[in-house]
Amino acid sequence: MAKLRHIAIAVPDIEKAARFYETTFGLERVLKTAKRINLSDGTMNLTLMPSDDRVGDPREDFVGLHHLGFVVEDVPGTNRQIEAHGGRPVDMPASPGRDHTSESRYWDPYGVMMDITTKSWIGTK
Amino acid sequence: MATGKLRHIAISVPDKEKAAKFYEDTFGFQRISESRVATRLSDGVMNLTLLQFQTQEDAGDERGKDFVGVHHFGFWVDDIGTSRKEIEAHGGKYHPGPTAHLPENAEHKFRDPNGIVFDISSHGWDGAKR
Repeated sequence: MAKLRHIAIAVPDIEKAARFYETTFGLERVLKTAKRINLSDGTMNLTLMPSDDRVGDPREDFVGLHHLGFVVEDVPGTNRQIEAHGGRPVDMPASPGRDHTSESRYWDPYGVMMDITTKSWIGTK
Repeated sequence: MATGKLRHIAISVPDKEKAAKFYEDTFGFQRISESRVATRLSDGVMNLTLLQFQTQEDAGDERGKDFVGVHHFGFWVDDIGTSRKEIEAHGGKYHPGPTAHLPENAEHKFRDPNGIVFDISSHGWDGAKR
């Protein structure tokens, strides 16, 4: 079974948003890069991303719950399952040098974006 | 500081039955419970809820009943009152949801400083493990 272990929130200021979740709920900062702050509650990864980093999302400057992430055993097999059940791949812009945990990225049949990986996200179990 | 465990993600869809099947068939999620507006799935740890709002009142905010997408997420906390104080002290705001037909766990909704909606629960969500 796949495990839902990642949720990404797009915000104007990732530092301020991270502080809200750290100070309010005691989430721990496990990784900070130029464009991402990864928080963890020990099991789930909550990532703050800047709202101008669209990563294939047509919504311009979207602020809100941006995408989910599933940890799976077999990425190509999962990709086939997603497509067989009505999901479709996200058309990603080329992004040399970007450090992605995700190995594939899809839209569910309703337009919810999801990352798929075998490697999991930092701070998850 | 209060602590919270992120254990609930709610997606609003036009047809919760079809959406639940997608997550069951694709990812092997298990169906735990259902209500008039919600179908609740689990991966053993996380609760994933598919919402199908029937009325504007169900939806409870300006996005309306036809909103499609990730609607809110939720933290499992020890004590609602303590967490509410922490949320408000850090710039979050109480966000009264629908006034009728409340799903069991939806009674304490907030907005973070960016307006993003989350809820807190002291008894968790169906199928979630703390």
